[in-house]
Amino acid sequence: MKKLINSRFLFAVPALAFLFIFVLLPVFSVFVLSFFSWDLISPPKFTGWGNFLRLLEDKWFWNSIWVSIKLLMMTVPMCFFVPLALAVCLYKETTFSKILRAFFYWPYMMPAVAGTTMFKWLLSYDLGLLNHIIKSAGFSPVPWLLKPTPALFAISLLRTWGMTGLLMMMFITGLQSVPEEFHEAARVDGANRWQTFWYVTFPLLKNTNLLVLTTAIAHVFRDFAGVYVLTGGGPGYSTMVTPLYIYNTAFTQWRIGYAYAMSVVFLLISFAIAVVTLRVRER
Amino acid sequence: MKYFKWISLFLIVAVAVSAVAAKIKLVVWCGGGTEREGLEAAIAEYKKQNPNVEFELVDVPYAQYEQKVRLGIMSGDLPDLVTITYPYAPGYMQYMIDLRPYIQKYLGITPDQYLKAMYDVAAVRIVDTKGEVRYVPLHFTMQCLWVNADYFKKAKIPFPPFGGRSEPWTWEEFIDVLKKVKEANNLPYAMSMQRTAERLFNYLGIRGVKILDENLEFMLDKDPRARQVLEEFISLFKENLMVPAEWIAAQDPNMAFTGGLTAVLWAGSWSTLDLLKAEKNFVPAYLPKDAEWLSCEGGRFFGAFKTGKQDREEAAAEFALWVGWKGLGYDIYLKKTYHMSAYKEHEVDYDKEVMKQVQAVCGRLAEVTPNWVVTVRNSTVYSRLQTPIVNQISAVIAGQMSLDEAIKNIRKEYEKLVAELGVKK
Amino acid sequence: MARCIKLIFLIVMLLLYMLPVYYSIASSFKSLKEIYSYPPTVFPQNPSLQGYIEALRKQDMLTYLRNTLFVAVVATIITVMISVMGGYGLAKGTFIGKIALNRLVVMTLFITAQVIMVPLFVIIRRLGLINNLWGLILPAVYTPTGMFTAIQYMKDIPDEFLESAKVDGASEWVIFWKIVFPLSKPLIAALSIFSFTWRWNDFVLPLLVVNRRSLYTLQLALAVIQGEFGGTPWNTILAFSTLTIIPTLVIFLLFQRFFMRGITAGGLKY
Repeated sequence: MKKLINSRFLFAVPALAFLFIFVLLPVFSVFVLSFFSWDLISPPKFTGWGNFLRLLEDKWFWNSIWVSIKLLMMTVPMCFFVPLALAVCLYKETTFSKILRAFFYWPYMMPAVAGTTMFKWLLSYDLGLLNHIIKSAGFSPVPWLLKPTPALFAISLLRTWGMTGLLMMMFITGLQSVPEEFHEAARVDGANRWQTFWYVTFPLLKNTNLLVLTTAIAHVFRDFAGVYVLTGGGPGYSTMVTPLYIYNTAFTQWRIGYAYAMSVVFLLISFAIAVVTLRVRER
Repeated sequence: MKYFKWISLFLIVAVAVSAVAAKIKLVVWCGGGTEREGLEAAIAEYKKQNPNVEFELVDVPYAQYEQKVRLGIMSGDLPDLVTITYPYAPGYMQYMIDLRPYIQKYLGITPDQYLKAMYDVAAVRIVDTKGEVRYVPLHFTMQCLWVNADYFKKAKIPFPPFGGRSEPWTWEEFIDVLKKVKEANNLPYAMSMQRTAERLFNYLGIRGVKILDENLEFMLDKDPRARQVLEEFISLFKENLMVPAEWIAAQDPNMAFTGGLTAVLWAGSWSTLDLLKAEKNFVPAYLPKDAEWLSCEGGRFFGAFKTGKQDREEAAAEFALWVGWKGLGYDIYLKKTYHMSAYKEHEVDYDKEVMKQVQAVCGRLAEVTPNWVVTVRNSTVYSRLQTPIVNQISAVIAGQMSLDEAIKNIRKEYEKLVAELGVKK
Repeated sequence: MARCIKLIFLIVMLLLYMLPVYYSIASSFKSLKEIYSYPPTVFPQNPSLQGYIEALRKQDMLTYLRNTLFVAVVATIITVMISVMGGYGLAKGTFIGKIALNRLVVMTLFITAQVIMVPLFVIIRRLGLINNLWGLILPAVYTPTGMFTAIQYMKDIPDEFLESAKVDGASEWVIFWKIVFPLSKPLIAALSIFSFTWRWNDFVLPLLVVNRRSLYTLQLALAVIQGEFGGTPWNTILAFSTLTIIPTLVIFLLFQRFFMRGITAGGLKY
């Protein structure tokens, strides 16, 4: 009997209790309650597949998935190459590097709402500094939050700004683990810095690269606070990402059962991304 | 005579106990900010006259109001008194006590006289379908225009009623005015307007188009003029007469107006306090008059919940009537919050001159507004339709969809709501 | 040459990255008249504290500060406790399903509040924790990342330490307190700092749980005052925003090493 459970396990019980109540239970209930229709005040009504059928016809839900995909396509490349470039410049352990790294890391530390507020102010069409600078340089001002594509781009910029810190550090960790000998060998062979990087270092960073990619994708897909504060769904529905659409359905229209059905889809997609990420990390 | 001692002791104890017991505590939910300050000032005065009533003020933010009351009703955790903004007022009438018996008792007039003393549009709001008076007006608002008098002076354009012109503009004249004042002052835009369905309702109403008619039928796809009038509204943004950011990105209209990027603000009597802070020459003005002349009223009302406890209900009713009646607590509240009065010919001793102008402009607009403006907007259908309307029109202005598509979408939402709410036609 | 390019690149990026921060802080010191002036000024012409006074007085910032502080501190204490204990139990305990449970912890790394917003709300409501600061604490004390990190850390503690104590006749509880806990100081430090920051920055959970203004946290209040009917002037909003980032900035500057190095073994925020 002793071998089955030793009392050390008991230490984990509180944590597991919280895990169960606040993580597992919600996930299970998502699957169950999606078959009901509920508005929180009256008791839930069983509707079978009704919610899911409605989901198939809901143009705005699929629009939100498409928006999320568009956002990913815009943001992930930026989220990859900008931190990479910074990491390449800053991976040596000099004081200068360390100080600069802190500046780039800081936006990641900032509360999402405060950081987004700052962006919102900066991007104001008439009174924002960014358009002022652009106008002074002779170009016409960008309708940042007023047109669909600039709005999406604005969110991309915001996300990149916010995630650079984390991703840059991942790259730095990766770069630092590449032994100097590889660089030496390539240099001796006559390659310049550019070639050395792309043909030697970069391939060696495969694991880090994948880690950065999957982390970026996961974060962008889940983003809620940024979009909520910056555009609230954007001009029309053009930046209405899935979590935001679910939130509106549940808490402004009070269609709880239907929101559960949407959450099922969202959960499954997040799960798929997570599984891929885990496979990558395990390597 | 020995009993004398005991009797007197008993009487003293009884009086003491009843004095303590007579202390009633009323819980009041209010909306924070200036509204709270106004209520606090009124309460302070009321307590001087009624020392045995205690108050507890609780803040409920506007945005979460409905949720909180819903939860309160479910859990039975209701206050004695509550301020309610006009969109939610009809829905909660059933939970409020009927104030009519108390009007005669505490104000010395009949309920009929009470209702006649205020603007019709206010009276309509506080009475339910059976004629029972469920609320008192706490503060009352009307939409109106605000103009930047300096810009108008520079452009040499008179404005009604305080700028050298007594009659309101027609819509055509108004558009011309906007273009001229924008050009004369070299502004990027002409007019600011907040992105709400209420503003749109008012605009459409003035131009003779109803979103919902008196039978709560959806009219935007049935009325032959609706599409044209909406197109004209949308083109205002394309011509930069209105500010795209305000209706696409929900930018605060005060930003452009107080910043001097626009010359006109389509807002209302509630803007006074904020506009005063900008220290500019802002003056209230009449809304334009086209097929109709009307303005949308709004405001907050004050009601007492049915808690089942007779003495508390009565105390709550007494206070509500006191704070909502001209000459009593109402003046104290209005002076603190810079809101206009809901009563006709009610001169409040504000300390700011502009309030007189506000009362004059908005009072006139209140008088000319027909009752259907209130009754239609009182309906649950309309209040639930507001968000879809705004979202769809905003999308059209952003170039995201065509107007026809938007109207179709709003129609779909309307049908859904009607089915859900079981609206009688 | 390459050095030059690198330097220019870094400086340009630095300016771009700090631009939003600079402009917000600078604007927060503008007066109401100046903040809406057109064209916008880069540097406040007549610096004024109007925004800050409004934020502190009118907007009730101190109440929000108190709430946020309470939630952050209490949640951190509980998080550290259950994570350290939990990591120990899951890493060093023996029981059936040990591998499965550990797998489970890893699988749930991706389940953050945004993913389960609606059911989380319903469950919190069931527990009666809506509009209750504990509703912001309890659902947040279990953090997948924190747990994962703790498990990884505990795995690195050599079993011999524990066995030798066992041989000496110590009970499990004593082993934990006398040996494991002291050894976990770096873990505790890292968890505390991360947990405090995460709770301070939290937005989604307060948005779901709290709708009574007196219980708002700082970030929630900041979001709400922007969308409000009547509008809050931008100098107040930015003053509010600036004030809310100060504590996390201070923590960041003091404990940079923890954040930047991340915690070992992929314990970076998922």
